Parts: sequence; structure tokens; C-alpha cells
Amino acid sequence: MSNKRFTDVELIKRLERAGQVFRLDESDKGAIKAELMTVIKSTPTRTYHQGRVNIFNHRRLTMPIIPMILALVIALGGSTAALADAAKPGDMLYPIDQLVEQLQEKLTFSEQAKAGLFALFSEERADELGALLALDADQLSEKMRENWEAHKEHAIERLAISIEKAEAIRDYFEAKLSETTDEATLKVYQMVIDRMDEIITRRELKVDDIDKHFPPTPPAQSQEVRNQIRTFMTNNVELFQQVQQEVESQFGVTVPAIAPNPYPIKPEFDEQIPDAWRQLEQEMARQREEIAKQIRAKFENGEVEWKQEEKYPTPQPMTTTVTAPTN
Amino acid sequence: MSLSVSKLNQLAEQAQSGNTDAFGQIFDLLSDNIYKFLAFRVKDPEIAKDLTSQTFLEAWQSLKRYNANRSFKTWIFSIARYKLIDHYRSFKPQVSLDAVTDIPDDTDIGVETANALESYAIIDALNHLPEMYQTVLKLKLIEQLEYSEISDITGKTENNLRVIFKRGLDHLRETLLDEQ
Repeated sequence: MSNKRFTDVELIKRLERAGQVFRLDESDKGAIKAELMTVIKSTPTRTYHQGRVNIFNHRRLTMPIIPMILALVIALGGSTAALADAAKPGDMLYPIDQLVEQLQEKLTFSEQAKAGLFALFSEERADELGALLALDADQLSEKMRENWEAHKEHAIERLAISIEKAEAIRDYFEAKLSETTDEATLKVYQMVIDRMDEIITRRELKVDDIDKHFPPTPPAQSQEVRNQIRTFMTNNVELFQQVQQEVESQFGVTVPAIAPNPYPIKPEFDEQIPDAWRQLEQEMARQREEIAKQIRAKFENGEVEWKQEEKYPTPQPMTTTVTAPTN
Repeated sequence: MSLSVSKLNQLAEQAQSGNTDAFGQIFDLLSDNIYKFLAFRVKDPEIAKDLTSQTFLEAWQSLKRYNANRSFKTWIFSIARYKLIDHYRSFKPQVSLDAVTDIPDDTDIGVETANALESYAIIDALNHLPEMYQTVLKLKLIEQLEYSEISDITGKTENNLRVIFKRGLDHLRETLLDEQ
């Protein structure tokens, strides 16, 4: 550039022109859009129908329930299990977490971004396994123990697959490293290779650790929390099934069933129900009343039409038999 | 292309109802701006494309949280900014200025080379400015946003933004003079 002092106008024009160097190629734009539309069309989003309300639509009453269930899990100290991005195998939101991972992998284009994304997923796999190992198999019923074993084996398998994938990515970048001479590119590839080596080493140490220390001693609080959640689910079968249907229809995934608590509820247990649980029930009642009030108001204002009552399948009760222990 | 705020908001409301075609139109209208915003920061076209995809996917998944009283454009730019922050946290950005010197086949090589080199110098100078000056200059001149939209993104008043813009230009001018 010439040695001159630019005016504001000249500077603005040059800045606007500089911005033109970053443009999205039409073919790239088309490719991104095609991929995006494929993903979003397979990911249903919650719809809002304003103005028309079917007062026989019970799903409107269950819609606030999922956030309340999440609030309950958090209140009971369920760590990050309630958050979709860190759900563990067996948690209600785990299939949603898996779905999000699949979507993220599908939309990643560049090699470096794939490596970075995969590194994040590998960290989560190790966390999942750690959470599973915190459970004490001896305290579970036979059926639950089978489920737990299956989940643990599944998590170990996924960990092994994540190691293989990391090795494949490392090998790929090592091959590319040998083919390039550009310094900046070499640095990028070496960074990716080093990162993959770190991940592989940590994952292999983790697998060795599992073999040496199985089964671990579970933290008492973790097991108590899980029992409380299972008790809640057992005592609210219909509610759980409504939540299950809601999640399945919104996300198109099958929610794994959680087995009921095999131990009978003692009368004094009611006194030990956390305050959050009582608050949850009060909040549910308040929300139902609020929704009913809104519906009545809309009807009185003529905003609501009477609709034909829709048939919903009657939820089937859970058939697991609970036997009281004889002490 | 000048975008009507009400048209975008209208499409956003349709998309909220599950209309994927409306969301596709939103992509057509905003993808260039979002890409440019991200590419200017990360300087790598491939990473910018990834972040662009992630921004729109996040926008689709978060549509139920979008408030129709707010400009959809500024809302999605906020998402893009968060994606950028996440990217910086997880990945050290590599300096790749290939896009700056990329010259189309059917143009005057001499003119394009001169323009490309000048753009390179201006971008480099811009990236050395304090963060707030960079942000406002880029959003106003590169992304072509209005002060009201920038105010929505940054939380600063429009008057404050005008002052920052002017001071940013002064700083940039001095930086360019120092480098000559």
C-alpha cells in the first residue's frame, strides 16, 4: 500500500472490500445446505399451535413434565445425568445424547474439526464408563444386574471402538504429514497426531484400570439417588409412560425402560422424600390448574373450538412383580 | 442483498412451527453473512464452513427459545459467536491466509493481487486492534449490520457503538501508518 493517511471514507471502502475475500462458494453453500436439510428433516422440533386447543389433548398437560423430571434428577443430586450433553447409559436422555452426537458427526466437514470433535466424544465415553462402574452390582436385582452388565459391556465396547477410531485418525494424519511440505499445514497435522496419541494412551490406561479394579465400591449417594429415581418411576408408572411417549415422539428414539425398585417401600420412607419431590408434585398440580384456566379462558373468548375426542392407547401397566424381602 | 428484518422474523416463526422449507430460506439469506463473520475470525475456510453448519443446526434445535420480539438475525449471530468461543476453547486457531490470496481464474491477476495484498494488510491490522474495536468494525462493515442489531449482540448502546466505531477507525488508520 502507498504511504498515505486514509480518510474515514477510504478506510471504510477498503474494509468492505477486504470483507469480500471471505465468500462462501456456491457449491460449498449448496453442499452445506443439503446436509443441513437432511439432518433437520430427520430431527423433529416441537411445534406450537396457537389459537386452537384441543382440551382433550392430554399431551399438553404432560409437556411441562420433562423439564420437571430433569429438575427432580438435578435436585436429587443426579450429577450431570439430567443434562442431555452428558447423559449416561441407562439415563432417560442417553439416546438423545447419542442422537446429537450422530448429528454432529454428520455435519462436520474438515479433518481437523472431526479430530477435535472425536476427541470430545472420547472423553465422554470414559466418563460414561466411570459412571457405570460407580454402581455396585451386588445390590441390584438379578434382572437389573443383567442390564447393568450389558450396559457396562456396551460402554467397554464403545471405548474400544473409540480407541480404534482415534488410531485410524492418527494413521491418516501421519500419512498426510509425510506428503506435505507446507510448514503451517505440518504444524496442524502434528498437533492432531499428538492429540490422538494422548487420547489413545489415556483410553488404554483406562481399559487396564478397569480390568484390575473390577468390581469397584460404589459411592453410597449415587446408589441412593438411583434408588430414589427408580422408586419415583415405580410409583408413577402412568406418568413415566407419558414421558416416555413424549420423548419417543419428539425425538424418534426408544427410551430404555428402567426396572422398578425391587425393595418394597417402608411407611417411614415417605418422611424421607426430598423436599424437591414434594415441590415437584405441587408444581405439577399448579401447572395443570394454570393450563386448565387458560383453556377455559380461551373457550370463553371463543378462541377454542370443540374437537372430536381422540383415542389414545391405554398405557399398559408394568408387569414386573415386586416381592417383599422376608427378614 | 438487503434483508428485511420482518421477512426474516416471519420465516423464523414459520420455522418454529416446524416448517423446514422456511428454515431453508433462512439459510439462503443468512449463510453468507454467518460464514463471513466466522471466516474472518478463524481464517480457515474449512473450519468456518464447519462452524457455519453448527450454527444453523444449533439455531434449528433452539428455535423454541427464539423470542419473536427480537431480531432473528442478531439472535443467530449470537449463536455464531458462542460457536466461535467454543471453537477457541477446544482448538488453537491456525493462521491460514490462503483465502486472502486466493485469486479467481477469470480476473486481472495484477489488480487482484494488489487488492488481495491490500486486504491482507488491512485484515492483519484489524486483527491487532483491541477486541471491542475489532468486533464493532467487523459487524458494521463486514457483516453490514445496523447499529441497533450490533447493540443487541454486544449489549452496548447505539451512541456508544458509534463512538467505538469512530475510535476503531482512528486506531486502524494509525496501525496501517505504523506498518507502512
